Amino acid sequence: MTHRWRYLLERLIQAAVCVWGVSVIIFSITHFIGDPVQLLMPAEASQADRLAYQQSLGLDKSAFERYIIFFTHLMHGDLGQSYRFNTPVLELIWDKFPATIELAVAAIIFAIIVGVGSGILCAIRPNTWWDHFFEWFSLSGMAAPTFWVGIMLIMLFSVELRWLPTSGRSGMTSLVLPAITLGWYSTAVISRMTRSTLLETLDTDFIKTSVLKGTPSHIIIFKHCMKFMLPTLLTIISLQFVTLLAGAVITETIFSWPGIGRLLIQSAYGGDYPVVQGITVVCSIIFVVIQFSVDVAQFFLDPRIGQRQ
Amino acid sequence: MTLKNLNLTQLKIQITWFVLMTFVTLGLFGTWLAPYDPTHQDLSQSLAPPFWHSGGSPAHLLGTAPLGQDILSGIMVGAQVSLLVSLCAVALSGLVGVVIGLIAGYLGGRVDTVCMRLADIQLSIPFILLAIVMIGAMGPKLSNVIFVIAVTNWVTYAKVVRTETMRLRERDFVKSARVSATPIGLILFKHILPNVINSIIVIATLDIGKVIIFESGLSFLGLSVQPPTPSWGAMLADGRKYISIAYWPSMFPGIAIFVVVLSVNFLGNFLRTHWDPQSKR
Repeated sequence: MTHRWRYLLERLIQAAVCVWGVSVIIFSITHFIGDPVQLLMPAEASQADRLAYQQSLGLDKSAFERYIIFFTHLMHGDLGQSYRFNTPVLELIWDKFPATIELAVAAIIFAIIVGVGSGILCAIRPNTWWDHFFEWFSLSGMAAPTFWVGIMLIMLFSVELRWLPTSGRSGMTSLVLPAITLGWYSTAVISRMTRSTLLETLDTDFIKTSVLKGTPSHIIIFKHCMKFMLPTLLTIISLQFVTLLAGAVITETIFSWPGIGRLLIQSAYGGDYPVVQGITVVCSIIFVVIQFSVDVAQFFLDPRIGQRQ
Repeated sequence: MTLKNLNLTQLKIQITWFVLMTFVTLGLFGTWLAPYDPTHQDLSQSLAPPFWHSGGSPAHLLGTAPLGQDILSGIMVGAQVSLLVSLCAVALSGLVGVVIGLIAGYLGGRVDTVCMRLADIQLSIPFILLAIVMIGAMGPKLSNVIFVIAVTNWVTYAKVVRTETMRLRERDFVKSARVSATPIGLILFKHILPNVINSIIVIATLDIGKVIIFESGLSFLGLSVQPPTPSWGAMLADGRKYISIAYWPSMFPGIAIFVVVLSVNFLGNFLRTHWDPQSKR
């Protein structure tokens, strides 16, 4: 048992190292690749303001001391001030976050239903016409860029058929197209992964025994196999969810969805670098937290995890 | 495998080769092969439809963009950016990843731990965000885009090469090289690398497709090469504003990306099953 808890502790330390590493990378980009004063101050700032800002960043100090200042601010949740909105960056992100989460959750639900569903269908009847159909469907899903899929969907459902709105966030109908666009790629990945995992599971001895004992096939698939596959599926789905949050940047741009992705792009265009930097830090930390949570969930779901030989 | 299946597979491979050869040819010589200068604007020809529509003319086979640029020429010349960025970025990230993977896998211990933590950190910053931050700091230039993609993409190579190196390290031919005092560089590059090169080529091939999508995504957002240099992503972004009146400016560049990426993925999957008969699909 002690071995197992040590595993969890190791994971926690690993997550902490990741958060720290992210702060180092972002700091290096802003301070070594770019010019922090130019990046973090508005273009029309006066010379006096620049000097004052230089003081507050501690640009006269060594790189190490500057990093300490940056990191302390970060740990206090101080990500700087947006100069387009004149509000703290964290507040701005907090404001736009629900919209992005809504979109990402809708997309992952779509991806799970279609992906897992089609994956199961293909695995229980491999090499039938629908197996081949979904194989092509998934391959195309992985090869088609998100923004193109989004534009084609708008063209078909909003412009030609006039069923759904082209953009904005107003009620359920406006959620459909962005969610499908965002979930497209994940659907393809989840479908393929479900298929291959289920095929492997069906090949194990305990399932073969169940089949021979005459267990009805729906119980085998949904009870025995699903339970066995759950940890794997959970990993795949959580990884896809993380990808979705990042992919929201493009989807939100296409559909004018008022989330952090659109905020990020507009800030990048407007030269509002503190916001760009802040969103990246916050998202990366969220990623680390999600991955750690999945590890914890796996740990409780699968008693084999963490037991070393 | 039946005869019919065999022919179908061969047909798929032939189509794949044809698409990829066309892509490479356009990438290299597109500027000279294109019927028009894709940056040439002609407002009298604004949004002319493709030739099969009424009002379309064979002069502009795939129609024209909002400012009258020829779309076919844009796609032909735009292949250049996709080809250049994908090849350079994949080569660069592959090089970095393979060297890190070889060293981490062979030396093990603390070096390995450091390299793998580095990979974890890299993976925890989502690519598109890191790209936007870096390009925000460095400016949207072609070389910067290649650099950003290369920097963010080395992890897959490092992980695969590391795992295989760890396995190979215990094999007799490596052990005997080690006891006969072969320099470590020679062991890594002459004894271990040839055994992992197949996996590297498979990953690199699949990676090319990924990078083409990445790059077109960045140019769609206006963060890659700047106009007037034509690129598929930027053409799509341009045409997007006019989807209510014309589908062609946003549809055809997308089809170009789709077909090329699909072919690259086919090639990657084919190489994988070809070299590793055990792998399922």
